[in-house]
Amino acid sequence: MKSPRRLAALSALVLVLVLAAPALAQACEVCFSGPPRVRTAFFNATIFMSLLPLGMIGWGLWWLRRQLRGRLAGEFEDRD
Amino acid sequence: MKQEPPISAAAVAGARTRRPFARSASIGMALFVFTEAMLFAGFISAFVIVQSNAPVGAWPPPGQPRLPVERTALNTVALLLSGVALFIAGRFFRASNAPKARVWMGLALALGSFFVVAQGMEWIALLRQGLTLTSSQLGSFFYLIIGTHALHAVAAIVALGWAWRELRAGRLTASRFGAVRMFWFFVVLVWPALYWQVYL
Repeated sequence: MKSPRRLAALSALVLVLVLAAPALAQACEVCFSGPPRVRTAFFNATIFMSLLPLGMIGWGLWWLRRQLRGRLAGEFEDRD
Repeated sequence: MKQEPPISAAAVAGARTRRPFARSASIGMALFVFTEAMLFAGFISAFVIVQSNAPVGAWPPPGQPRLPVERTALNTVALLLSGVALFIAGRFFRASNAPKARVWMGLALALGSFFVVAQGMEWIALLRQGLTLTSSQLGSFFYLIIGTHALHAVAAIVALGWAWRELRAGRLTASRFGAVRMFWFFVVLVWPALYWQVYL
Protein backbone atom coordinates (compact mmCIF):
# COMPACT_ATOMS: atom_id res chain seq x y z
CA MET A 1 0.00 0.00 0.00
CA LYS A 2 1.27 3.46 -0.79
CA SER A 3 2.14 5.89 1.96
CA PRO A 4 0.08 9.11 2.18
CA ARG A 5 3.19 11.19 1.44
CA ARG A 6 3.94 9.28 -1.74
CA LEU A 7 0.29 9.53 -2.80
CA ALA A 8 0.32 13.28 -2.22
CA ALA A 9 3.51 13.65 -4.27
CA LEU A 10 2.04 11.63 -7.10
CA SER A 11 -1.18 13.69 -7.04
CA ALA A 12 0.84 16.91 -7.15
CA LEU A 13 2.84 15.63 -10.10
CA VAL A 14 -0.33 14.71 -12.00
CA LEU A 15 -1.82 18.13 -11.19
CA VAL A 16 1.28 19.91 -12.52
CA LEU A 17 1.20 17.84 -15.71
CA VAL A 18 -2.51 18.51 -16.23
CA LEU A 19 -2.05 22.25 -15.67
CA ALA A 20 1.03 22.39 -17.92
CA ALA A 21 -0.52 20.47 -20.82
CA PRO A 22 -2.68 23.32 -22.22
CA ALA A 23 0.32 25.66 -22.07
CA LEU A 24 2.36 23.19 -24.11
CA ALA A 25 -0.47 22.72 -26.57
CA GLN A 26 -0.70 26.47 -27.16
CA ALA A 27 2.86 26.38 -28.44
CA CYS A 28 1.45 24.70 -31.57
CA GLU A 29 2.01 27.13 -34.44
CA VAL A 30 -1.06 26.23 -36.44
CA CYS A 31 -3.56 25.24 -33.72
CA PHE A 32 -4.48 28.70 -32.40
CA SER A 33 -3.76 31.07 -35.26
CA GLY A 34 -5.11 31.55 -38.76
CA PRO A 35 -8.67 31.37 -40.04
CA PRO A 36 -11.00 28.75 -38.53
CA ARG A 37 -11.11 26.83 -41.84
CA VAL A 38 -7.34 26.33 -41.80
CA ARG A 39 -7.34 25.39 -38.12
CA THR A 40 -10.09 22.83 -38.74
CA ALA A 41 -8.13 21.41 -41.69
CA PHE A 42 -4.98 21.05 -39.55
CA PHE A 43 -7.00 19.47 -36.76
CA ASN A 44 -8.68 16.96 -39.09
CA ALA A 45 -5.38 16.15 -40.81
CA THR A 46 -3.73 15.57 -37.42
CA ILE A 47 -6.48 13.19 -36.34
CA PHE A 48 -6.40 11.38 -39.70
CA MET A 49 -2.62 11.00 -39.76
CA SER A 50 -2.60 9.80 -36.14
CA LEU A 51 -5.46 7.33 -36.29
CA LEU A 52 -4.68 5.74 -39.66
CA PRO A 53 -1.38 4.05 -38.65
CA LEU A 54 -2.75 3.15 -35.23
CA GLY A 55 -5.82 1.63 -36.88
CA MET A 56 -3.70 -0.37 -39.32
CA ILE A 57 -1.40 -1.61 -36.55
CA GLY A 58 -4.45 -2.50 -34.45
CA TRP A 59 -5.96 -4.40 -37.36
CA GLY A 60 -2.65 -6.22 -37.88
CA LEU A 61 -2.47 -7.25 -34.23
CA TRP A 62 -6.10 -8.41 -34.28
CA TRP A 63 -5.39 -10.48 -37.41
CA LEU A 64 -2.23 -11.94 -35.82
CA ARG A 65 -4.14 -12.87 -32.67
CA ARG A 66 -6.84 -14.55 -34.72
CA GLN A 67 -4.23 -16.51 -36.68
CA LEU A 68 -2.29 -17.57 -33.60
CA ARG A 69 -5.28 -18.53 -31.47
CA GLY A 70 -6.09 -21.61 -33.52
CA ARG A 71 -2.45 -22.58 -34.04
CA LEU A 72 -1.40 -22.38 -30.39
CA ALA A 73 -4.40 -24.29 -29.07
CA GLY A 74 -2.73 -27.70 -29.48
CA GLU A 75 0.88 -26.48 -29.32
CA PHE A 76 1.96 -28.28 -26.12
CA GLU A 77 -0.20 -31.39 -26.33
CA ASP A 78 2.54 -33.65 -27.68
CA ARG A 79 5.08 -32.59 -25.04
CA ASP A 80 3.15 -33.77 -21.96
CA MET B 1 24.08 -29.90 -14.79
CA LYS B 2 20.47 -30.70 -15.54
CA GLN B 3 19.93 -32.76 -18.67
CA GLU B 4 17.27 -31.79 -21.18
CA PRO B 5 14.47 -34.37 -21.64
CA PRO B 6 14.62 -36.20 -24.98
CA ILE B 7 12.40 -34.83 -27.74
CA SER B 8 9.71 -37.28 -28.78
CA ALA B 9 9.38 -38.48 -32.37
CA ALA B 10 5.83 -37.06 -32.47
CA ALA B 11 7.12 -33.60 -31.54
CA VAL B 12 9.76 -33.75 -34.27
CA ALA B 13 7.16 -34.82 -36.83
CA GLY B 14 4.84 -32.04 -35.67
CA ALA B 15 7.58 -29.45 -36.02
CA ARG B 16 8.34 -30.65 -39.53
CA THR B 17 4.73 -30.46 -40.69
CA ARG B 18 3.85 -27.21 -38.90
CA ARG B 19 2.81 -24.48 -41.27
CA PRO B 20 3.80 -20.84 -40.74
CA PHE B 21 0.97 -18.71 -39.32
CA ALA B 22 1.18 -16.30 -42.26
CA ARG B 23 2.69 -16.43 -45.72
CA SER B 24 5.86 -14.41 -46.24
CA ALA B 25 4.46 -12.84 -49.42
CA SER B 26 1.34 -11.67 -47.56
CA ILE B 27 3.35 -10.15 -44.70
CA GLY B 28 5.70 -8.41 -47.13
CA MET B 29 2.80 -7.03 -49.16
CA ALA B 30 0.95 -5.95 -45.99
CA LEU B 31 4.00 -3.94 -44.88
CA PHE B 32 4.29 -2.40 -48.34
CA VAL B 33 0.59 -1.51 -48.38
CA PHE B 34 0.96 0.03 -44.90
CA THR B 35 3.70 2.39 -46.10
CA GLU B 36 1.80 3.22 -49.28
CA ALA B 37 -1.35 4.00 -47.30
CA MET B 38 0.66 6.46 -45.21
CA LEU B 39 2.08 8.02 -48.40
CA PHE B 40 -1.43 8.68 -49.72
CA ALA B 41 -2.56 9.87 -46.28
CA GLY B 42 0.25 12.43 -46.35
CA PHE B 43 -0.74 13.60 -49.84
CA ILE B 44 -4.38 13.94 -48.87
CA SER B 45 -3.58 15.83 -45.65
CA ALA B 46 -1.34 18.28 -47.54
CA PHE B 47 -4.01 18.74 -50.21
CA VAL B 48 -6.75 19.44 -47.64
CA ILE B 49 -4.60 22.03 -45.83
CA VAL B 50 -3.61 23.83 -49.06
CA GLN B 51 -7.26 23.79 -50.17
CA SER B 52 -8.35 25.31 -46.85
CA ASN B 53 -5.77 28.11 -47.26
CA ALA B 54 -7.39 29.27 -50.51
CA PRO B 55 -9.77 32.24 -50.17
CA VAL B 56 -13.47 31.39 -50.02
CA GLY B 57 -14.80 30.72 -53.53
CA ALA B 58 -11.32 30.52 -55.04
CA TRP B 59 -11.09 26.73 -55.22
CA PRO B 60 -10.69 25.41 -57.87
CA PRO B 61 -8.42 28.35 -58.77
CA PRO B 62 -9.90 30.80 -61.28
CA GLY B 63 -8.96 30.13 -64.92
CA GLN B 64 -8.39 26.45 -64.30
CA PRO B 65 -10.61 23.74 -65.79
CA ARG B 66 -13.06 21.89 -63.58
CA LEU B 67 -12.26 18.24 -62.97
CA PRO B 68 -14.53 15.78 -64.82
CA VAL B 69 -16.56 14.52 -61.86
CA GLU B 70 -19.19 12.50 -63.76
CA ARG B 71 -16.84 10.70 -66.13
CA THR B 72 -14.49 9.85 -63.29
CA ALA B 73 -17.48 8.48 -61.35
CA LEU B 74 -17.94 5.96 -64.17
CA ASN B 75 -14.25 5.02 -63.97
CA THR B 76 -14.63 4.66 -60.21
CA VAL B 77 -17.48 2.20 -60.68
CA ALA B 78 -15.33 0.19 -63.13
CA LEU B 79 -12.46 0.04 -60.63
CA LEU B 80 -14.74 -0.99 -57.77
CA LEU B 81 -16.27 -3.70 -59.96
CA SER B 82 -12.77 -4.98 -60.74
CA GLY B 83 -12.27 -5.40 -56.98
CA VAL B 84 -15.51 -7.39 -56.76
CA ALA B 85 -14.43 -9.54 -59.73
CA LEU B 86 -11.09 -10.32 -58.08
CA PHE B 87 -12.85 -11.17 -54.83
CA ILE B 88 -15.00 -13.71 -56.70
CA ALA B 89 -11.89 -15.01 -58.48
CA GLY B 90 -10.34 -15.60 -55.05
CA ARG B 91 -13.36 -17.67 -54.01
CA PHE B 92 -13.02 -19.89 -57.08
CA PHE B 93 -9.24 -20.13 -56.60
CA ARG B 94 -9.70 -21.37 -53.03
CA ALA B 95 -12.26 -23.88 -54.28
CA SER B 96 -9.60 -25.13 -56.76
CA ASN B 97 -11.80 -24.09 -59.69
CA ALA B 98 -9.02 -22.63 -61.84
CA PRO B 99 -11.02 -22.07 -65.08
CA LYS B 100 -13.64 -19.90 -63.35
CA ALA B 101 -10.99 -18.13 -61.28
CA ARG B 102 -9.20 -17.28 -64.54
CA VAL B 103 -12.37 -15.84 -66.09
CA TRP B 104 -13.08 -13.58 -63.09
CA MET B 105 -9.44 -12.58 -62.84
CA GLY B 106 -9.48 -11.68 -66.52
CA LEU B 107 -12.59 -9.56 -65.93
CA ALA B 108 -10.85 -7.75 -63.07
CA LEU B 109 -7.87 -7.16 -65.34
CA ALA B 110 -10.08 -5.78 -68.13
CA LEU B 111 -11.96 -3.42 -65.77
CA GLY B 112 -8.70 -2.22 -64.23
CA SER B 113 -7.23 -1.58 -67.66
CA PHE B 114 -10.36 0.34 -68.65
CA PHE B 115 -9.91 2.52 -65.57
CA VAL B 116 -6.29 3.36 -66.42
CA VAL B 117 -7.01 4.05 -70.10
CA ALA B 118 -10.05 6.22 -69.29
CA GLN B 119 -8.07 8.16 -66.70
CA GLY B 120 -5.28 8.66 -69.25
CA MET B 121 -7.78 10.07 -71.75
CA GLU B 122 -9.08 12.45 -69.07
CA TRP B 123 -5.55 13.62 -68.38
CA ILE B 124 -4.98 14.40 -72.06
CA ALA B 125 -8.19 16.47 -72.12
CA LEU B 126 -7.20 18.33 -68.92
CA LEU B 127 -3.72 19.08 -70.25
CA ARG B 128 -5.27 20.52 -73.42
CA GLN B 129 -7.53 22.71 -71.28
CA GLY B 130 -4.52 24.14 -69.44
CA LEU B 131 -4.32 22.14 -66.22
CA THR B 132 -0.64 21.26 -65.92
CA LEU B 133 1.74 20.38 -63.12
CA THR B 134 2.83 24.04 -62.84
CA SER B 135 -0.39 25.88 -63.77
CA SER B 136 -1.77 26.00 -60.20
CA GLN B 137 -1.73 24.28 -56.84
CA LEU B 138 -4.72 22.24 -57.99
CA GLY B 139 -2.74 21.03 -61.02
CA SER B 140 0.30 20.18 -58.92
CA PHE B 141 -1.70 18.16 -56.40
CA PHE B 142 -3.93 16.59 -59.03
CA TYR B 143 -1.05 15.16 -61.06
CA LEU B 144 0.91 14.21 -57.96
CA ILE B 145 -1.88 12.39 -56.14
CA ILE B 146 -3.81 10.94 -59.08
CA GLY B 147 -0.56 10.24 -60.94
CA THR B 148 0.84 8.29 -58.01
CA HIS B 149 -2.35 6.26 -57.88
CA ALA B 150 -2.17 5.67 -61.64
CA LEU B 151 1.37 4.33 -61.24
CA HIS B 152 0.11 1.95 -58.57
CA ALA B 153 -2.79 0.91 -60.80
CA VAL B 154 -0.41 0.15 -63.70
CA ALA B 155 1.85 -1.88 -61.38
CA ALA B 156 -1.21 -3.76 -60.08
CA ILE B 157 -2.33 -4.52 -63.64
CA VAL B 158 1.12 -5.88 -64.50
CA ALA B 159 1.08 -8.02 -61.34
CA LEU B 160 -2.42 -9.28 -62.02
CA GLY B 161 -1.53 -10.05 -65.64
CA TRP B 162 1.42 -12.08 -64.41
CA ALA B 163 -0.82 -13.91 -61.91
CA TRP B 164 -3.35 -14.64 -64.66
CA ARG B 165 -0.61 -16.14 -66.85
CA GLU B 166 0.72 -18.21 -63.95
CA LEU B 167 -2.80 -19.46 -63.19
CA ARG B 168 -3.26 -20.49 -66.81
CA ALA B 169 0.02 -22.41 -66.66
CA GLY B 170 -1.05 -24.05 -63.38
CA ARG B 171 1.85 -22.50 -61.45
CA LEU B 172 0.09 -19.85 -59.35
CA THR B 173 0.51 -20.48 -55.63
CA ALA B 174 -1.93 -19.29 -52.98
CA SER B 175 0.82 -17.20 -51.43
CA ARG B 176 1.54 -15.23 -54.59
CA PHE B 177 -2.11 -14.86 -55.49
CA GLY B 178 -2.82 -13.55 -51.98
CA ALA B 179 -0.09 -10.90 -52.29
CA VAL B 180 -1.28 -9.74 -55.73
CA ARG B 181 -4.88 -9.64 -54.51
CA MET B 182 -3.93 -7.55 -51.47
CA PHE B 183 -2.16 -5.00 -53.67
CA TRP B 184 -5.09 -4.83 -56.07
CA PHE B 185 -7.56 -4.31 -53.21
CA PHE B 186 -5.37 -1.50 -51.91
CA VAL B 187 -5.42 0.23 -55.31
CA VAL B 188 -9.20 -0.22 -55.50
CA LEU B 189 -10.01 0.87 -51.97
CA VAL B 190 -7.75 3.93 -51.82
CA TRP B 191 -9.33 5.37 -54.97
CA PRO B 192 -12.77 6.37 -53.54
CA ALA B 193 -10.98 8.38 -50.84
CA LEU B 194 -8.88 10.16 -53.48
CA TYR B 195 -11.92 10.77 -55.67
CA TRP B 196 -13.88 12.21 -52.76
CA GLN B 197 -11.08 14.55 -51.68
CA VAL B 198 -9.69 15.67 -55.03
CA TYR B 199 -12.67 15.64 -57.39
CA LEU B 200 -15.69 16.42 -55.18
